[in-house]
Amino acid sequence: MSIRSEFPILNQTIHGMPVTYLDSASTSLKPRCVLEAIRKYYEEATANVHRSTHLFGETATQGYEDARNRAAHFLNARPDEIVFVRNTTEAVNLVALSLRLEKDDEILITPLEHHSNQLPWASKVKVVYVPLRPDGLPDSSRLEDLVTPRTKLMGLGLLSNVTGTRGDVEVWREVASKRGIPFLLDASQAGGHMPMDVQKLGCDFLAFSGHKVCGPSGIGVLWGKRSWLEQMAPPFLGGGMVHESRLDGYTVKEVPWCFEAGTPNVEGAMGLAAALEFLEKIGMKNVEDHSKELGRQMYDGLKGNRQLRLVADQTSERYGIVSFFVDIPGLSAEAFGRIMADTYGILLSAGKHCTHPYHDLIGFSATVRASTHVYTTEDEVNRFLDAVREITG
Amino acid sequence: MEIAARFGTDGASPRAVHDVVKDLPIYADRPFCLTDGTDGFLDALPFMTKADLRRYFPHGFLRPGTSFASLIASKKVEVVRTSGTSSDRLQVLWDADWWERQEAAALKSHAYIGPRMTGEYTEAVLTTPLCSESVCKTGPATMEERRVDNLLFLNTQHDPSRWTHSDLARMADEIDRFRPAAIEADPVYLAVLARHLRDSRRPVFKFDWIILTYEFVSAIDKTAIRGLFGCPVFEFYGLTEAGVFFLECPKGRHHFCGSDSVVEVFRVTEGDDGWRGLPVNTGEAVVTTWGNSAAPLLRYRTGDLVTVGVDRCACGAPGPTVLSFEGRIRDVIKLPDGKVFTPRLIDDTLFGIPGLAQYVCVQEGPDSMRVDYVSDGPRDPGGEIVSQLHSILGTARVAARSAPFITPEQSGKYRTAVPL
Ligand SMILES: Cc1ncc(COP(=O)(O)O)c(C=O)c1O
Ligand SMILES: [Zn+2]
Repeated sequence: MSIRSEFPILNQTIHGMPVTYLDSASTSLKPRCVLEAIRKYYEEATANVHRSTHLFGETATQGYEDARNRAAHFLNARPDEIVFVRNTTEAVNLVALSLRLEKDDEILITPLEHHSNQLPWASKVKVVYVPLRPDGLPDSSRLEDLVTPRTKLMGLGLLSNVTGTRGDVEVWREVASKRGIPFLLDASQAGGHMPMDVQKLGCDFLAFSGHKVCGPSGIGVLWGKRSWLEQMAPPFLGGGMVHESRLDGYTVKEVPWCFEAGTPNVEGAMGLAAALEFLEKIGMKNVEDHSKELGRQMYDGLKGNRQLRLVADQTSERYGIVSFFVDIPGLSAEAFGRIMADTYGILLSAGKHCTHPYHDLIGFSATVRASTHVYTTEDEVNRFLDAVREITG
Repeated sequence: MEIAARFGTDGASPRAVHDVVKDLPIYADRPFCLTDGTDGFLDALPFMTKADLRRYFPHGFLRPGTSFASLIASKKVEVVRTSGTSSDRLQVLWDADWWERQEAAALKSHAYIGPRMTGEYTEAVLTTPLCSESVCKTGPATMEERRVDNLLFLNTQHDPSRWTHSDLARMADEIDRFRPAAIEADPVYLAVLARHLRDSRRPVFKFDWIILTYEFVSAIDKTAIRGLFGCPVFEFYGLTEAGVFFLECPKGRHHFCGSDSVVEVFRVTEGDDGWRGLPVNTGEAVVTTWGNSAAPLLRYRTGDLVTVGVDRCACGAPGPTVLSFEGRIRDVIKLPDGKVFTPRLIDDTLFGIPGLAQYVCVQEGPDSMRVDYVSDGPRDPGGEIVSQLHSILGTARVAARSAPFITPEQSGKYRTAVPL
């Protein structure tokens, strides 16, 4: 299968140039099978789930629960540990809202976290940040010292959306399990770049968004160990999540349905299932090799450029995501990004990538980010590197 | 294509133009004719478009031995972006101070404004806050932060329809405190402020003059602004990528005011693009500029239609003038029979309808039109909009629909006519 030919959007041109989409860390493109899955729901069996007694309803419920099975398979998890949410952000918020946290509880995270794995905590409890090493990456060797009896959760990005580096999962897991602290992985970026096996990762929660793994927007997954999910109080109440409701009380459904109040994103779940199947067909090991290769290619192509300052520039071990500061006075990251788009048809991100505290710490007002996915080619990365050379040369 | 008028040829020297452009890669293949005077020189030049500027940016503007990074780092040149959505916008290079220089020269040459531009002259600016990321501020920014040299940038909100009463009151307060000589404004934005001042019955600050620029000026807005502020109002036409070109005189015509530039107006003759019904003196403005040495332009098609007058203006200034700006070519509405309607023609038709504040005329099918309109006051102008449009559009279907507000494009500018 030619991967690229499955993405109709790539047939477009911008100002007569082919589209070079290097903004997959913002959101990924969607293959035909995903569009098809959503179309099928609309054209063949639109219905609500877990309610209707007719054919459409059965088909929709079946498709929705099949999607849960597919997500479980993708994560090597049990289906009853899969909660459908809107996105990573909602997943982290759901955990933060359900854990019965108190104001002087502590959460341990890194300063490299996306706002999604920072603000839900910072708004409720005391957040303790692992310090950064001189190379700009979190210093996991300090972890043990930072855990206190009040530490209620340790949260780590599995793959940084800024540096393209993998979190020190093994070190974190060890500390967390030794101290009996739940360990949450923000895997929002990971699905397009590496296998995600929750047994191997050894985490207690893992969150990811459908739109970053070639699936639709508005659907995401919170995986949680059943023992943890069962301790959590569902924060959203309403239809679909109650078992029985009387005038004087109610009982909620079991995990995971108790966390899915209201009509869920049925077609989104179906689209997500198609996307996960698509990635599994490519093979997650292949996905990982491809990402690392492109990451290495970008790193090698950019690191010697004296007009740029790579974020975490001493780390060649990275996936297909790289950010850099444009060190040309008078040329902002935004202007750089616009020139790349308008002159070369190369689509990038420019800004702080929802990691304002991290950008403040490393002293860059804004950076440009290039990010790949399974459909990104070596040629595209070369086109990007050539254009960068032309602008900075 | 036929030329309806040329402006600025008196000050043009083919040799000067040639010297500025000759070692720029973007112009490497141009045929230059330096022997036949300015007209001959221009005649020999092919056209260039926005697409060329985009394709050649920045490499087409780098002289041998210059890198983009070193050019920008030298601070002699800056990168500026034009407004517009990404299909439309451009990145361009400006010589440091070039814009201010030619803009000031244009204003100085004006019979009314020139003598009033004294040393401590100050100006308020009211337009989209997105116009330049380095200057205009979006979001909460103090009045001090929005003061740049002699300018005060009033707006902090993308969309004027979201201005609250307190936003409007803040702007009015700031004008009262800053006491600028003039205001330079997007007409839609200033018209919203004008109506607010009128409705809130607060005393109106007396500007010495008002400049309307940044986009197409609807007669509805211009009249509302003139009526409320009671000072001279002048339209000013320019392009971020090319400079300023026309400034309205006290008699209401638009005189050439460019420095180191020529404007040619090319008639859109019957048959071009199958168009019918444009007056013979209407055409596209095409500019040649050499004052901005970082990015001079040769016969650059602006995409804007103007109507020119060749007789002498009542103000006494010599030369041809622009009688009216017709709007952008891409906004011209065309009916199946080939008959075309410029945004100006539609605006002239709707101007004067009581109770009409703002509108957008959307062509929904080959011969069907929908007008969304915002009313001013209790009177519903819907019926009259339909009947007035019928009078020019013939058998085309027209529907009018009242709207609480009209949203600008992402660039913050408005379209008054949107063809199929
Ligand atoms: C590392 C990381 N975490 C969380 C998120 C948030 O994902 P979403 O916006 O889908 O909730 C992102 C998205 O950019 C991300 O990169
Ligand atoms: Zn005049």
